[in-house]
Amino acid sequence: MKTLNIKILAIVILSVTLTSCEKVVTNVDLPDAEQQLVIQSFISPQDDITKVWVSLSTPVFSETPYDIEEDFLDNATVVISDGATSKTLVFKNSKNYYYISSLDFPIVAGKTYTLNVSTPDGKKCDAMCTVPLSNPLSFELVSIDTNTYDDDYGFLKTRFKDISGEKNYYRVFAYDKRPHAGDTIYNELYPEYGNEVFTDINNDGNWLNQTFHFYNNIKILVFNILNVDKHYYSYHKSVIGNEDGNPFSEPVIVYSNVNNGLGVFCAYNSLSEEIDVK
Amino acid sequence: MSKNHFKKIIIPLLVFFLIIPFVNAQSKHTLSGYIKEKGSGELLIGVNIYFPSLQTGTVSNNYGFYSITIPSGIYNAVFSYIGYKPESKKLDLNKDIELNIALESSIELEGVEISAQKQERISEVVQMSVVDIPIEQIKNIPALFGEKDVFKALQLMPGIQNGTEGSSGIYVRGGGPDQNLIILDDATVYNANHLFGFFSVFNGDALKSIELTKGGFPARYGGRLSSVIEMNMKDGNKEKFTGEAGIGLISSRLTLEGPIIKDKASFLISARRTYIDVLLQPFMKLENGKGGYYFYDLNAKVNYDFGRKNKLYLSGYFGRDKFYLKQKDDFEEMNAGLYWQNQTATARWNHLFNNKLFANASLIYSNYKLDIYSEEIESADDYFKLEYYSGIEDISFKYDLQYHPHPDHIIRTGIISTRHLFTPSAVVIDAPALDEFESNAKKIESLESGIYIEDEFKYKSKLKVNAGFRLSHFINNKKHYFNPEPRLAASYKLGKNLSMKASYAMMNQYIHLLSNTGIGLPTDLWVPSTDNIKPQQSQQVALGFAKDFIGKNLSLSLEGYYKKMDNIIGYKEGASFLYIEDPTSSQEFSWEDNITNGKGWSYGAEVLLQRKYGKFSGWIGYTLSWTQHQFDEINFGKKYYARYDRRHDISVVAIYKISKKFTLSGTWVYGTGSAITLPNATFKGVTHNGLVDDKFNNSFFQTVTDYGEKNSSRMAAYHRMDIGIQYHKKMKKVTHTFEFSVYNLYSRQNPFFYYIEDSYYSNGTAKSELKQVSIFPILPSLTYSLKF
Repeated sequence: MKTLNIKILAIVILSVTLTSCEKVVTNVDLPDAEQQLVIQSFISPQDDITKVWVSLSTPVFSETPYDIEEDFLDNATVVISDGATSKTLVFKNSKNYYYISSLDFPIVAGKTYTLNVSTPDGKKCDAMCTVPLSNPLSFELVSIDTNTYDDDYGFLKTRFKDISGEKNYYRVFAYDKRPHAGDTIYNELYPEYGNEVFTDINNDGNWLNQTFHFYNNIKILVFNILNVDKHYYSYHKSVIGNEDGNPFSEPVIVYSNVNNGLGVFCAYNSLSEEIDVK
Repeated sequence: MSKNHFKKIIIPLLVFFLIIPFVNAQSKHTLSGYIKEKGSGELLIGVNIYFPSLQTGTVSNNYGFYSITIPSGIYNAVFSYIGYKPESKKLDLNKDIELNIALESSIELEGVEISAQKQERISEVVQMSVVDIPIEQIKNIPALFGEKDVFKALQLMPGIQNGTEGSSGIYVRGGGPDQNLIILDDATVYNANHLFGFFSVFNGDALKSIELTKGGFPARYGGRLSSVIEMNMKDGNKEKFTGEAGIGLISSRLTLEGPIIKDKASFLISARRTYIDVLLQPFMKLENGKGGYYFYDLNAKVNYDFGRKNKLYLSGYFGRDKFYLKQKDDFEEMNAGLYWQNQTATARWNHLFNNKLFANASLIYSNYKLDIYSEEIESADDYFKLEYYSGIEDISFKYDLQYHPHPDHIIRTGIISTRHLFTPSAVVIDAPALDEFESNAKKIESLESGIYIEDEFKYKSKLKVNAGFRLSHFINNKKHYFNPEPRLAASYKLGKNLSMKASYAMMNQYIHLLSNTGIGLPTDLWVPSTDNIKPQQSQQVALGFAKDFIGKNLSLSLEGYYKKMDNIIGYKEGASFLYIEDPTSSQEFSWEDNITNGKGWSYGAEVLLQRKYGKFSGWIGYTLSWTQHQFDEINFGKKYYARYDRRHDISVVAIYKISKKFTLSGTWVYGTGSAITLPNATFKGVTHNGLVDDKFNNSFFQTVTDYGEKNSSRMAAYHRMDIGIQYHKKMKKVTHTFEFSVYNLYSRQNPFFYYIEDSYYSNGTAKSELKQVSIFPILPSLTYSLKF
């Protein structure tokens, strides 16, 4: 299908551009050119550490040094608070993020947290999120369907019970865990493109299905079922669509819940399962 | 809407309107008949029949039939129609009279100035929000590549705009191209575009009339939210063989019409084909093969006049656009292509029950199909064929009655029922080498029906009202939708030749068009309403003034409207029609999951000053409008301007007949730019990694683009001037016309679309620039046509 479309598209574009002209646009109001703070953080009670990435955005229409790596800032002040206590996070050089251990600042289900970030040159932004109250329930590996020609390739069908009575957002991660060179590696298995994060719409209280493709002989599967908040869902839904190279589709606007900045501060509550397949 | 409710309203209304004629029991008689064009026998639609002494009259219907019941007496009846010499007949109406009239076209008469007769006056008509351009006038407007197009001419009218440059897609009062009911001889046409909308599928040579209603819809129309574009084909000259032919830059056309049995039966056949493929061949040289594009269309009609009481019409349309690529070498042959086609066929039976009651029964077939195919053939047994198609097929039955009980009432009632067969996607794989033949076609059947009644009545000579009620119904997979649609239009005479008009209409749309490409590619997907996808609905109020300047043969209309649309359909962000995926995948492609619903608002004001006929004719139109959408799943639920929201739209069309031989014409259009979303900045995006153990938890980064609010930027304004000059050489049997026209006279580089390009400078900096692509700079064209 892909090669077919490209050829047809080529003919289409060829005939259209036969009489076309190009020039730089000067008669349109272009968006503002100012760098903004970008924060990204995904918190949960199950994580050992809380991580926050801080960087600056690069305006599209202004002249900037082209090797400006949108580097992560190391000189920002990052403070997390649960309303009663506030703690400052520390920058970890090797990982490019600010962190705090869950022993120093535990993330609790149901609580609301605020993040405040500021930089020496006066930029400030903040964001807020609430950790979902419950863990996902009753996860099951329904079936493993291998391809008729090749045992190493196929689909995994999984399902879990939706938390009824409320609007929920979910994400399921699947990994193929295997020993390698004296250590352990995890190969990520992917769901249908576009279905990474999903909701319980029209399915409240029912079993929700998620299917993954696998490409290798699987032995041990590790699943991480996340009950995510609306910010997590909206952000990932929009970022995953952002890479779409289809020139004919509308640009996907990236979600942000950061005031005075970009990015996301969101939360989830998860359940982890390890399943031996062989 | 329960059945009881229906009975409580409809039955009393019916009784009330049917009793009216019997109230005033004075001696009355009926004058009725058919009005045709002299010399061809072509039935004329919308002819005015007026009795000056009674200050009342009527209009001929879509089949040229008129009927009026007035008290006995001696009267002067005046028959008038734009572009034709009026006829006046003195009659003694002491019994029912059947009077058939033949009007002579003034185009044939030279140097005749039409005196201030009772021409069609917009201040007299109750219908508002209607755009009507005589076909003959359309042929004089300069066009892109010299190809006259009825839809492009409609886009020059206020309230009606095109999407992108050159496109024939129509946006009416804030509604998208999916919200127009396009009817050709009663049959619905689903995709009215040739060559991505650069031309419409309608050949002006085969048409008798085109009319677009954008508000105040009478109850006889239903099924779409924003407009009804009704086109009637010519019946075919009943008296002699005639024809028209034309050669243009893009296509050529030929129309032949004539009698089968003189005065009784006639035919019309009209064909058009492009030769772009031939012209582009030298540019399209491919290794071992060739590629190209062509379109053609064919209109055919046959009619038989059994007599005064019965007439039969058969009409059909077939058109196709095709892109193809063929390659052949020693090993294999490869064919690939994309085509889309429309087919329609209608059989209509007019029956006159008596001189007051006219009926029409129609049986209609319509089919639209989009097909993408690819074949790789190595030998007779070794090949791989893949075909993807989608489409919609309709069979309808329609019955309409028109009853003229009294000069002050015209009652119309009828029923229509359509069986739709949708094929949202079908895949066929034929590959003996892989031992596969798979045909995966999901077909959905549904039934759409409507029943209506309307009464167009006059009250005390100042007030005219068209009150109607339509009940529409849709059933798909056991899901029923019933929707009552009240309709009301009124016109109040404020003075001589000046009236105030107001209307209210509620419309429902049960079938939806998914098309998310802004350029108008034929990736149209028609889908039905389902359990999850509810019908679209609109309510529109309009208020306006209409003034006729009789001495100057001008009409001026000013209208304001407000339209609210509910349950309109859009693609979810990131989804698109081309998301077909692997056809062998076990996951089913479901279009329902990719679409979402929302609301729309459109309001504005329109001004039109028009002269339909004369030595110097044309119009000036201006529209000021706003169109906004709100979808919960798009733009995070915030309201935004629709892409095609156009604040100001101006059109000026002028046609000047300098002499018998020369006609000069020009147009100028201006439109505010479309709303677009431009990127603000980029940043390093981190997405969540689901491994709990941080030892293995490496984060993923990607460059993410931050866009501003959806559609918060505007493209540059669009404006363009076209001119044309026609030379007519009238010989004994043939009239030759040469036209030289120039599209985009001052060669403005109107933006077609924008894209972003990065530039790198030697001092180590980079910058992204917004660039535009424009098509169609100054384009002269020469066309030739003849009439015989």
